[in-house]
Formats: sequence, structure tokens, C-alpha cells
Amino acid sequence: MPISEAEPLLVVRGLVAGYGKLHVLGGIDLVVGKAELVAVLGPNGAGKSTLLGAIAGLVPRQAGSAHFAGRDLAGMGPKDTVRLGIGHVIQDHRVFTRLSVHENLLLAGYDLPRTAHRARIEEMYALFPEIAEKRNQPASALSGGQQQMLAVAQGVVRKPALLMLDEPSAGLSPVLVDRVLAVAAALRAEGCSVLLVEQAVQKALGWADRVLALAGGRIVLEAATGGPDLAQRLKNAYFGGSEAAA
Amino acid sequence: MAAEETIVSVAGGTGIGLVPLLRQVAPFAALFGLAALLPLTHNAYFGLVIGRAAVYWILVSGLNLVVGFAGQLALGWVALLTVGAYTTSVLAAGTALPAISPFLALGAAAAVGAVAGVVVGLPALRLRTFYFAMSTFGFATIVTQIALAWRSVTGGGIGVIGPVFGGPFGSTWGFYYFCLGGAVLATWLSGNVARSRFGRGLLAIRDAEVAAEASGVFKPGLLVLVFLFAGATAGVSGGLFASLQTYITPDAFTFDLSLLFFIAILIGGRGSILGPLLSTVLLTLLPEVAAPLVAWSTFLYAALLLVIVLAVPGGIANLLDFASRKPLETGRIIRPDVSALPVLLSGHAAERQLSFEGVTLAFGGVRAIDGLSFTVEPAAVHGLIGPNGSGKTTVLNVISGYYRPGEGSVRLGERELAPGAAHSRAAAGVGRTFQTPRIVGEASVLANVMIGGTTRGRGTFLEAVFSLPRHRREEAALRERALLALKAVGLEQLAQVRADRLQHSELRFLEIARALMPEPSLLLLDEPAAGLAPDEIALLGGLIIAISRAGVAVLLVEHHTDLVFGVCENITVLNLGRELTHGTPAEIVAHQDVIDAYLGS
Repeated sequence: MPISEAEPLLVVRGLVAGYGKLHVLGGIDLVVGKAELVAVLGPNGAGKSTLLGAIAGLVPRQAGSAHFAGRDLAGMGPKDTVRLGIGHVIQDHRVFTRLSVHENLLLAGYDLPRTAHRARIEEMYALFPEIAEKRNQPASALSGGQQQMLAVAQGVVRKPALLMLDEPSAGLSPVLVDRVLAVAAALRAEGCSVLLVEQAVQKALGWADRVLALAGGRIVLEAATGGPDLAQRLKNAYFGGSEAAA
Repeated sequence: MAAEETIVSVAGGTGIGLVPLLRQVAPFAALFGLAALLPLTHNAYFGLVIGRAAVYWILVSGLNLVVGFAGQLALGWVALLTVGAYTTSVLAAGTALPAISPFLALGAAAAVGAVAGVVVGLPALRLRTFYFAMSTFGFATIVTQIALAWRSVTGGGIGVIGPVFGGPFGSTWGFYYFCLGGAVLATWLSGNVARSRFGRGLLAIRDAEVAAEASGVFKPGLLVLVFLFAGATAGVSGGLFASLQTYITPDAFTFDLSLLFFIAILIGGRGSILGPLLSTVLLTLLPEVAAPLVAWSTFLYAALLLVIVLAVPGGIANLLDFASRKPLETGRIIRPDVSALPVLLSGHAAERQLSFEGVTLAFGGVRAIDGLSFTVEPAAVHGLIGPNGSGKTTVLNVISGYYRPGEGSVRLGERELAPGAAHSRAAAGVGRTFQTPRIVGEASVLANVMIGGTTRGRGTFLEAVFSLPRHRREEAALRERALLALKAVGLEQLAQVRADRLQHSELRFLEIARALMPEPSLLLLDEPAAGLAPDEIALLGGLIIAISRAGVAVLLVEHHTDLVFGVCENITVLNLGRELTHGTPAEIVAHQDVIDAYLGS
């Protein structure tokens, strides 16, 4: 297995997670280095969202370990992992529709120092002028895609050490997908790490340093992006399960 | 194994298979069978308690449709028990009119209860959740005050004698069987409603109101029917209650009683009949069990209640739902079978063109749609693309009647689609899916698809209540059609699974199956590929093309450009509510403005 050269930020070993007797993840080993953008791909139901949930503490971790910046995440819930610096943007634009756009962003970083927080929010408006126009309107007035932008902005506004994005491109126009992924890449350039779950494979490959393919709750492929035969190997991984030939 | 058996028998027969039917009926038969054997104990005290549970259940069975199915918080339903009790007692005692037979009086109580049910329920058409709950509470207070003040008829605070049912029901155990028979009848009738298109419509109103409208569920009409039904059962329950009490005063109808009815449904589980039945029995028995402790009885009752609520958060029905705890097969693949489509869409009236003409829609000062025109030909796929917030979903919402345009018109074929009136669209031939799937999570996949067939039903509510032949035939046909629609989209094997156990991508295909149920001339798809994996998008593309080949005009809003350019004959590009350009995929891809505003380099 190729070991990441960067200093590891997140180290997951033998992670099993799921609900009750159901194990969605069957032993995941994963390392995310500092300032690294790792894309997690795979068919629906492979366990991608569960993996992010298990790291964030939303889904019970049933076996294995997860360490973040040297700290053991055992027993930590989502509240604790957020404090440690793990940001998690979940699927299906979950914004607070009755609060205004601005209130949504205030809420997303409620424990940040006030002046820094203001500045961060203004940066978000600069990145997404579409929602800046509607900053004082309730989030319910945004279109589906604009709500998705707001959800991403809520994750980015904290500038977490590790940002986990769950299908940020869903419902976004092609230009905007590029912009969201560019935002993720810009965060990486500032030293943050990004764990990106995506269905838009080609776009994700364009921005990621490394790619993982998940199928049936296991990692079936791990590779640096840019390899000549990566697309074919991914295809095999999607349909063939384990990548025996590699 | 058992699940497979169910599916096979469902697919094979016209109605519900024999084995699952028995499985459904068995718990009820066991429960009522046990109750029927109770007189063998010769314990009159038990008889009284279980008799009371039966009387309460007659009311709860109807209220369950209002609260558990339709999700309306009717908190003060004791008012209808009061109305029924006084109607029966007063008519049987002859304090106002010449005395009539108690059986006739009970029938009158059902009729008066039904009317009162609609009166209590009407605010639900405007008020939501707690506001409606408050209004029912207010009604309960009014009824009690009238009973107190109208002395000449109700006896005021002194009260009135309850009716005595003569003949074979005159004895203690005779009356017990009368109540039990009523409970069995109420179970059967409310079960018939629950399993009909009306019951599914109620669930849809509760969990997915927008989708309910798009499927042709007319909320006000449906709610009035169910309030009539729930009022009638409460009226009958009141009459029996009065007889059980032998003497009624306004004090007998406490708010605690109303809470009991409401809590019985909560503990029983929403959308179930067995659950609320069990919890009604439980809640009637609990105080009796606690009674020997005298001073501590209320405390114990409350403590037990808390334990139940905490131990069974999803309700008793959830506890008994063993099938939903079996893990589903992982790595499921959606396999659409487009050969089912020609049969599914064979009878649709005519191939019709959608004309969207000069439509303008403003929210406050913002023009969400600004003079937009386009047409969608039958048997063609038309794409609608554009930046986020450019008004794509708003266009779909105008066509499906959620928004009323300020100017312009929308026509399907020769007919103009009435502005607003979203519930009329399914019958007019418009089917649609939603950006975020809107489904009834607690209902089966099959039931969710059957909701889409609401407008195909011709049988009346009464035919459904009594499960008359025409209604049964329609249900069987609808069931078969829903299975065919599921086959077409490739979810056949999941028909019996609870819809909230499906993956996101499967829900998207489920919504398409539901939209195909009324044989639409026009299908509106709102980002059907969002959240789908590349292989699933390819399957979706094939499905969309096959649907259009069957003669349906398809309007597709989507950001996955591979899909849009792959399946659309024509594309309209929106920007800021206006048409940026339109043309064939080849023209659009090369258009510089589109590249700048939307596609990116």
C-alpha cells in the first residue's frame, strides 16, 4: 500500500462501523496527510458517507481505531470532533431553512473569535456571490443548488484542519462544481486537508492528490491521481469488487 | 425466505396472497379471540375493564386515521365522545324528543358525531400542528360547557341516565359482546380505509404533502372524509361509553381521557392499526393494575408510561416490525426493465405537447421567471439547464401548479393547465419527481408507488370503508400496475421493503415509478441524476429515453451534462429567469454564452 509522504493528520486503522448488528464498513485503513486532498469514490451503498460519519462520530465506531492529529477519537461524538478541527458537510444540503443565509454562516462558526469569524464569512461571500446577494433572506428562499453552496460555505467557514465534503457537487451546475472543488483545493494550499466523497469521478480526479475506491464497505483501490490507467482501474474496482490484478 | 415468499405470492395473484393475509390478520384474531373467551372466567370486573378498552378502541380506531395516518394533532377528541354519549343518552331517555330505541339512538350518535367530527376538523385545513391541536382543545371545552348549561336536555351538572341496550345485550356479558363486536367492526372498517388509496393518501399528506398533491391527492376533500369517519366512530363509542357508565355527567369526560386516546396512538406507532389497538388495551389496563397501590397508583401509572415511551421510541408497531430489522442485501443493483414500459403507458389518452407561453412570475420585486416560452414535443426529451438559481425548478413548479404565474399560460395539448391547483395535475396528465425525493418513509416501496395511482381510483370512500367488490378490483389492479412500474424502473425486488431503508439512488427511481402510475402525457424530472453513480446515470438515461419513446413528453432539469446532452433532442438554457438560448445539444455545447455562464471551460 502506498504510504502517504506527507505528515499524517488522520490515521484510521481497521475501522468497522455501522448500525447495530449491521456493519457497513468492514475494516478500513486510511491515512490522510497534512495538506492533502483525498477523494473517496465508489458506487452507491459502498459506505462512503458512513466512513465520513464514523470519523465525525455520527455513526458508531464498532471496532478499529481513528486518530486525528495524534488524538484518539475513541468515544468522541460529533461535538468533540468539530472542536478538534474536523469539519463535515453532509449530503443533501442540510441548511437551516428558517434562518437567514447570514445566520446560517454565523451558526456554523459560532465558537470562532468574532472578528476572524466576520472576515471568514466575508470570504465566503466573495467565493459564492450568489448567496451573498441573499444574505438577509431565509435559506428557504435559496434554490436547491444555492443551498448546497451555503452548506459548503458552512463547512469551509471554520477553516477546519480536516474538511470532509459529502458529495458537494450534487445539484450544482458544472461551473459551480469546479468552483467548489477549487475552494477545496485552495483550502489545501493553505494547509488544510480535505476528504472528498464524490460521484463526479472525472472532476474529483482533476483536483485530488490521491483517490480511494470503496466497494462493499472495503477499500478496493488506492492510488495517486495522474496514473495513465487510473480510469480503467477505477472502472474495474466499481464493478469487479476487489482489484486483484493491481 | 419469508420475504421472498411474500413477493412471489403478491406478484402471482391479483390481490394480497393468502399467507401474508393470514399473517396480517392473525394478531387481531388472537387478541379478539382471547377477549371473546373472557366470560369463561366469570369475572365481571375484568369484563368491565376489557369492555371499556373495546369502547375506547372504537373511538381510537377512527382517531388513529386522523392522528397516526394523516398526522393531524387532534388533541381534544374527547369532545366527540361527549357528543356521542349525550346524543345517545338524551335520545334514548327522551328528555328532548320522544324516547327512541337505544339502537336507533346509537345510529343517530354516529351521524351527529360524523358532522361534529367535520366541525372539529375543519380548522385543520388552515391551521397546522399545535394551532390545530389548540382549536380541538377549545372545542372540547365548549362541548363540556354546553352539556353543563343546557340543563333541560342534558341535566346539567346532575347528568342524564345512560342508554340501556335491551334484548340479548341486556345482560353484563351480552353488552360486553356488543362492545367487542363493535371493536371488531371498527378494526375492520378502519383497516379497510388504511389499506385503500384513501389511507395511502393520508400518509402522503402527513409525510410528503407536496408529492401528495402532485399525485392528485386533494387534501381538503380527503380530510373531510376521514373526519366524518373518525367522528362517527367516536359518536358510537360515546353511546356505548354512556351505557357502560350507566349515568353520565360532564365530569366523566376529562381531558385525561382525551390524552389517553392521543397517547395510545403515539405509543402504538404512527401509521399502524395493531400498535394503537395494543396500546389502547394497555393504557386501559395500566391504571387498574396500579390501583391496589391507592396513593401511588397515579405515580406508578405515569412511571410505567414513561418506561414504555422511553423503551419503545418508535411505538409498539415499530417493535413488532420484525421484517424491517432483517438486513437488506448489500451491493444491490438497479435493473430497469424497459420492456414493461409499453404496457405501463399503453392506454394514455393522447400524445400531447407542452406549451409554456410567455410566463412571468415574480416573488416580491424579483422576477424568478421573466417572459419564458418553450415547447416540449410528445415522445421527445427536452432539457432545461442553467446556473443555480436561474429558475429551473421554478419553471417545473409553475407547470405542476404550485406557483401561479403573473402572466402567460401553460397548456398541455389543447387544454390549459389551471394556474395553481397542483392536485389537478396528475389527472391532467402531468407526472413529476422532486429534487429531494419526497416519499413516505414508513410505508413500503409498493405503497409509495401506489400513491401515484390515486387518480385512477373510481370507487368512493364508502366502497373503500366496506371493502366492496369494485374497490377490491381497483386495488388489485393498482397493485399490479405498481409492481409493473417498479419492474420498469428496476426496483421490483424491493417492493415490500420500507421505503426509508432504500439508498438515495433507489429513491430517485422510486419517484419515477410513482410519477408513471397515472400514465402521464408529460413527465417532469427535477435533477434525477443528483447523487447517482456514473453507472446508475447511464441506466437512468436509458430509462428516460425509453419513457419518451412510449409517447411521453419529458422535461428534464439536470446538471449532469453527459446525461442532458446524451438524451435530449432539444435544450433550453435559462439564465436569471430568461432564455439564454435554445437548440440541439451540439449547438448548445458550442455556444460561447453557455460555456461562460454554465459549462465552464
